[in-house]
Amino acid sequence: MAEVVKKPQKTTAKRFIEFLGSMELAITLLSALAVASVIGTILQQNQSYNDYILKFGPFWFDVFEKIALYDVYAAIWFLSILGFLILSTSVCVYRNAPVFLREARHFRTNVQLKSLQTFKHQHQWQLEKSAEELVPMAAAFFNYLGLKSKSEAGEGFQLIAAKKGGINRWGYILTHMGVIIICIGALFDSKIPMMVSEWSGNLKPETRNISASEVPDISRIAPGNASFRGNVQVPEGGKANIVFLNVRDGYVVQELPFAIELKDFRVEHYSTGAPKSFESDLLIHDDQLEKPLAATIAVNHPLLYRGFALYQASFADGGSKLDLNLWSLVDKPGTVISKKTAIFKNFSFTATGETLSAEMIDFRLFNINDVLQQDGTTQQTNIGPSITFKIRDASGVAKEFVNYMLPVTTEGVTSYLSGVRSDPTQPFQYLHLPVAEGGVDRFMQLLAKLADEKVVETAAIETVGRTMGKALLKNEDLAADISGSMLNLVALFLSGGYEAVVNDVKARVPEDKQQEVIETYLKLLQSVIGTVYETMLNAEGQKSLQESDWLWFDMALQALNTLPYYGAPLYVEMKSFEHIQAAGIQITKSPGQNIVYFGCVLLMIGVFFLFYINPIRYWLWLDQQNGKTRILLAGVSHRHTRDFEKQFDKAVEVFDSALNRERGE
Amino acid sequence: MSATEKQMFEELQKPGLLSQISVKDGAWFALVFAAVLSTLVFYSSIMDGYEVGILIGIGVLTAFVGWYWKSSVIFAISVGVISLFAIWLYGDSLAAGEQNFLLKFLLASQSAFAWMGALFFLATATYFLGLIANSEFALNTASRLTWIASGFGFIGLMVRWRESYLFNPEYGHIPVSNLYEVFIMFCIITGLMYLYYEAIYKNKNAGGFVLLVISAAVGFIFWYESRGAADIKPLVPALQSYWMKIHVPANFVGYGAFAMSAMLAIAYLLKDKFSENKIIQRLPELQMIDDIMYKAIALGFAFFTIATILGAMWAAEAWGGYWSWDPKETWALIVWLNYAAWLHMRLTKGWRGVPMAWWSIIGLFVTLFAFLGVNMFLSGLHSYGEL
Repeated sequence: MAEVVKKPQKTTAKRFIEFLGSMELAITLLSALAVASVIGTILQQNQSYNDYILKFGPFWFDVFEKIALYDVYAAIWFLSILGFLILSTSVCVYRNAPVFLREARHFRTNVQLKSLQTFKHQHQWQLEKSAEELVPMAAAFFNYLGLKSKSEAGEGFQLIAAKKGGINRWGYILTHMGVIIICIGALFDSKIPMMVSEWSGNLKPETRNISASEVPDISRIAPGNASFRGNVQVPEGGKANIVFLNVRDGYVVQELPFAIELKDFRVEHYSTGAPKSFESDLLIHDDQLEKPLAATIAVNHPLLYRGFALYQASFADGGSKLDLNLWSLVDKPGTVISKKTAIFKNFSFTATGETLSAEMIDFRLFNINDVLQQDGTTQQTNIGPSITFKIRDASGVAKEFVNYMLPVTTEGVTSYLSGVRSDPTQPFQYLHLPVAEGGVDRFMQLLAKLADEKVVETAAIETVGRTMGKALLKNEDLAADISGSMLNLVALFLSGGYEAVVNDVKARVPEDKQQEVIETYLKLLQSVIGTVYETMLNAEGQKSLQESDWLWFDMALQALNTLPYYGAPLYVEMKSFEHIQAAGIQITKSPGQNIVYFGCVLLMIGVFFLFYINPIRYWLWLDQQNGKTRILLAGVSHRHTRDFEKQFDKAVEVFDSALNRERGE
Repeated sequence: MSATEKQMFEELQKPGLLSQISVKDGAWFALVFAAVLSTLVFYSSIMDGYEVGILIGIGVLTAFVGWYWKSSVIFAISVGVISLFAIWLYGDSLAAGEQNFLLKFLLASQSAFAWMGALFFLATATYFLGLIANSEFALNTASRLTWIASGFGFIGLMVRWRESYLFNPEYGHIPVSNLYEVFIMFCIITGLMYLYYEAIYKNKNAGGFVLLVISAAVGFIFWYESRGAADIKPLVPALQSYWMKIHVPANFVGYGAFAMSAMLAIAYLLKDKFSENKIIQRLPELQMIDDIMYKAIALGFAFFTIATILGAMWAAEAWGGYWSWDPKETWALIVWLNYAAWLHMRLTKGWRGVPMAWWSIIGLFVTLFAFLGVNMFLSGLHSYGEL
């Protein structure tokens, strides 16, 4: 009974090992790994969780998060597939390697005559010479073919077995060992230790946007950590002794045993404006050093220091100083106050009784855009510096703006550009302010005049006088009436553009007369504003207006038309800046790297052995038959059977000629 | 007695290494050596250690390939001489490309690529003509056309290399930096690889099938050119590395070999299916196609392994980690896993024939996605060739 119970148990374990080492499992795992890997390439990994929620909606976001689709390659199930693959490969090597090695050494002298006779490649001779006499010749023959041979005498026969290319079997072992070693090396560099300390509660990723020094200890890792890959941004003149490691939607702070100071960051450009090189001059401060170590890193040229590798990864603004003009558009249009601030700083201001805050987000020295040329083609051109900022109202709703410092020519028209959007996924809508000497001043001056009732009134009366005759204005009531409605018209236009004027007419005038009235109103509006503009220029000493001045005026009207929808109570003009950059530095510690490379070397050598060393075996069987010695030559090759066929025929030819000589003697 | 028997085989001259090298081979080695040496003498002052290493490596490889595959010697010498001649015609001015007749219509990179494309189209048609009309002459002509087409492509790349420096010394780089340039390399490598196997197996009937995939690539190149892809552009900082010179070509030996095996697989399946059709039966015997398929995949796999490893080493230097699960890296792994599985099934399970043929066709689609699809549909670190 006991035996009966014991036996199946043993076979179950054995069968399990067999299953683990089986080709079927290995192929299944290979396929599973390939399919799983695809997911991570289709779904962009490690994005902000907000983006995923927007993309998938709350329900699917939760489902996908549960199965760790946002960081597939660190997911338990993915690592399990990988783990099983390593296990399966290891078992396979463990089971097969001894067999293969024995086979590689072994000459297979236990072969039977009957099986040799079934070989595809074989040849027979007969000779009147004893088998013993032929043995040395056979050995010499195999030696000539470059094979190692072994002779054995059996009952009534002599067998010489020969082989070559046994190292092919090593190819199998080296490739599989290579893969296992690569995976082990990668394990050293993986996120697994960090995941373990997270599960055991020793580490909790930080998700708040706080400064590094405020991050609590539970989200920090001491400098001793054996392997990591993190990033830090250092502004010019600044120092950092930590890096951030991304963990899903948060991060942890990895402390470094030294500090990096960024002395200077440089971007060089090609003549097209495309970047040519990124370089950072670093100073490493370390207690172990007598004086700080100076080094320059660039893309493709990292710095290796104490087992850490420092890479030039990215760049950003490091808090550029800005000198701005804030032009009021609403409260006191056309008035200006100057403001000194910097990127990453906020300031608040009041407009129409509301307190708003402006957040300076980014400064860019170069903007390489596709610009339409006069010949109709687009060309990549640098359109100069820009700032990105947000204006946030009291309820927290923000609009994002991008303002260019220099006039930009798009579609043949040169203007100051200010882009605005409420939704970060949408493209910017642009306000074009016409260019005149001294920047936006002239436009702002015009805006100020239009906000001044007296000025508009005077212009209105002048316009009416010019078009309908001075006599009409002698009637004071009528004059007041006309100037009053003109003021209304201008105010309406400034608050809502042409659309407001049109809507106003549509609300008040019967349908059949609307078109006519609208045309009259718009004409009047343009000539009143034109008069304001002309008066303004005359006052400046410019007596007659040129065509270019009227072109400017057309653009100004367009700008005034869109201004009500601009969305900000002020226009931010960039007067000057001091560019301060920050370098994004990636720091890694990767103790597994050399192990991985070692595995790679094994893999490469193994692949070569497997495919380009062809194992072949020959046997020469000598026995007595009808008083003569029968000689049977048989050969076999694992692969490249076509090549072997030629080799075998050649061998037969050589041996045949040797035998002929022997007969001749 | 036994002494004389031993002598017998010794007299037969062992096929030692030296005896396998003819006078011609010796001359070839001397030529390659002289070329490498003179390059070193004239230009080592502007080369760094890695570049010197790569140059010597290429010298050894060229010498070996010429010894192993004799026909390639004439090809290599022709490409070398004509490229140097074209570069000499250019002198120091890119404008010569428009003024010099030979450059404008034959040897300037754009003309050479146009010739390459046209000749590959012609070779494809001629191979099929040879197969259908059972004409030895047509097949031999097709083979020569393929040689010349590959030569034009190769010369074009060499000339383009020089042109990039003439265009703007700052822009100068080896032309394997974007999708357009590597597609041309794909055509050349696939063409040459096919010519090698064709010579070894002494059968040209399947040539049209392999040339079809090259023609498709040429079609893509022409379309891509019409979108301005042929413009010489400066290298982004990440690509300014000696690694590019070895990582990219090694990859394309892999891609070329995989593409070739898939096209032969189509020939295999047709021959297997239409056993009555006279024309199709002229294709090489099934076992031969199967054998070339295996050899191509083994070669491709070996090079793809090397290329991926080199890529990992480059990534460690440029991106700060030897593996980042970047889409291109991941797809390279998928391609590698696919062919690893293919080879396992063939070598250990002994699978042959129809299923393996289908598998290698599927493999081409996987490879194609890794090579093209990733650039088109996925974004990542490898964004050098957007469509």
